[in-house]
Amino acid sequence: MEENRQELMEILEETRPDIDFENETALIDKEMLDSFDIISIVSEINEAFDISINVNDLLPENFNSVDAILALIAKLQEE
Amino acid sequence: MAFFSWQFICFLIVAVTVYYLIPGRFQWIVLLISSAWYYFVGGGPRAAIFVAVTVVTTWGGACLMDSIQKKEELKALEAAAHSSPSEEGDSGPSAGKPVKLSRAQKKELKALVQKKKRLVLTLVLLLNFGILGVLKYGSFVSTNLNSLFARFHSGTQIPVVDFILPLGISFYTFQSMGYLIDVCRGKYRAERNLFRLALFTSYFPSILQGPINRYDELASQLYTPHRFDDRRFREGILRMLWGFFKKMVIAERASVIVNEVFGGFEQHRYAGFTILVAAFFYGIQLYADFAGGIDIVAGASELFGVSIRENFRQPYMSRSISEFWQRWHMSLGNWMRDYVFYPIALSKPFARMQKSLRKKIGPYFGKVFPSFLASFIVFILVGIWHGANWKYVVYGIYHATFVSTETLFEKPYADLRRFFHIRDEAAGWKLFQMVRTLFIVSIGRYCDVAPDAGTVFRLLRATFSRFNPWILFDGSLFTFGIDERNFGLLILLIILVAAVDIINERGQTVRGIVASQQLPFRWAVYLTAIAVILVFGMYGPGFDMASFIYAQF
Repeated sequence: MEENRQELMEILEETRPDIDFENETALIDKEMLDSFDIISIVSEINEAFDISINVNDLLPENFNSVDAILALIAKLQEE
Repeated sequence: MAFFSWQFICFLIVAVTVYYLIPGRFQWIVLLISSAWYYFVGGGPRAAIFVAVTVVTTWGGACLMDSIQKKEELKALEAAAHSSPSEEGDSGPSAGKPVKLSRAQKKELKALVQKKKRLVLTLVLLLNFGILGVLKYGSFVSTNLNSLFARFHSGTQIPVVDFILPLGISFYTFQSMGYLIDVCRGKYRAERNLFRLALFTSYFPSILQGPINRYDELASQLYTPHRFDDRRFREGILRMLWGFFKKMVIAERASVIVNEVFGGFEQHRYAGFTILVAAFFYGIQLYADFAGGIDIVAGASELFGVSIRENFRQPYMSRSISEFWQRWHMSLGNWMRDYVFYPIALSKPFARMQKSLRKKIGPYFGKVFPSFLASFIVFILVGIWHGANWKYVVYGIYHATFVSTETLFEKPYADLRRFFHIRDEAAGWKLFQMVRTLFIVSIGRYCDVAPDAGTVFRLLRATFSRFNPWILFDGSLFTFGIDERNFGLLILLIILVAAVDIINERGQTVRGIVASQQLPFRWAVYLTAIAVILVFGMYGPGFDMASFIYAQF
């Protein structure tokens, strides 16, 4: 889990170095990430974690915080 | 039925009165009857048939998808239950316990259900977008095909039929199809009551010019009983008055200059700053017209205790074209993002393209290029959404170019800013970005005002063929249809709207502030607003309150 977090943080910070991902819990609700960021992050995650986040998973609650994204990754890894 | 007419005001008073007099559980029926009445009077029986087709097919498609889900789940559980006793024996440890599916079975079930649901979805989408396509684009496609056949000396000719578009067809089709796609994605279950879905599709305040609502935001509000909320009612009235003010006092006044310059630019040889000034006023007209219209429908909806989606967020304060599209006609932009951009950008071919491009042209461009391409497709669709004409394709490509290159060249742009020591948050830089965005947007709107793509390019040539800034000071501006007094008033009113936008941008609403004041002050505001609309509103012979620019899309 800790490894996943580290890898995810690298992806997020590389995409948007200006956002404090550790403490932010409303990345989508506050419109901090735009659609280009989402596509970029999702494609990086898919490759790094060997999962397939599809359009049905693109819900605000899955991307509002690092914990939410980690939970989505864990769910998809289980499937 | 025009919004600013005695018929509409009377209709609204009757609907609101009945709505709050009857028991809460029947309120949604009042909204449904009001919507049906409003649409029938405005669009006639023929248009109502098209809405009915969309309602019935959407309802049937969504219910069918729901049934497929339940039926397949049941079948899978039965199959699992049937296979488990033979493995462990009837008296084994699983006897009497609820059957659970294995991970592989769940995956198989999910794939099967998705496949069947997608088939239903595709059929209903094809039918509804097919109707929209034929009615809106049929004549355009057949005319272009006929020109193509003529060029190749083929004798084939397709009949060209100009259909009358049913009122609000783009808006209600997009709204219904959004709901259907969400049901297919499993975002929520299908609405089983046909009449409730009919209300969601045809809700009268927003059917004419949007916004394109989402089922999970709107439907529960429509079906829930509402008690009369004095404060909300006051805010609704104020918002409607603000909308009427923008539409009738500002948009109609600005349209005089716009029509004069763009209508007669070839005849009077208007060029340079004259066209730029008219383009600026067209931007004002469009904003006051469309956002004013949305204020009227959102205010009317608030009278019933129903909040609809916001469609604008101070668009002229945008610092880039992509930000502009996050603030202008937001419900269309969000629809395109969720139902076109994401599915394309996350599709398997795009994922493969991304992988291959990363190897060939490097990680950065490889990563952003698929989004760049997907947004190009989206903007061409946004362009075409506005109408069946090549000029709207040009419009889409124009905006797509700015939005896509913003991302594609984000790094070089940042390097340039660093090189010139420009601070991103400096007030001067922000102002420059806003003016630049307004300029780009205004030029793009040539596609809207020109009758065809050829005129768009002639307008562009005329704009940059003459440098005549003196027309701003030598009184020429008062010769474009409105006199000096009216021109001064228009500028004053634009400053007022800009001031309200700045307050809104800071997170406050002026109508909220007014609505919370004591009764005499509130009534003074209401009466002043009505007086201003009646005294300064433009009601020339050509005035038509029903003709909102976006209603034609």
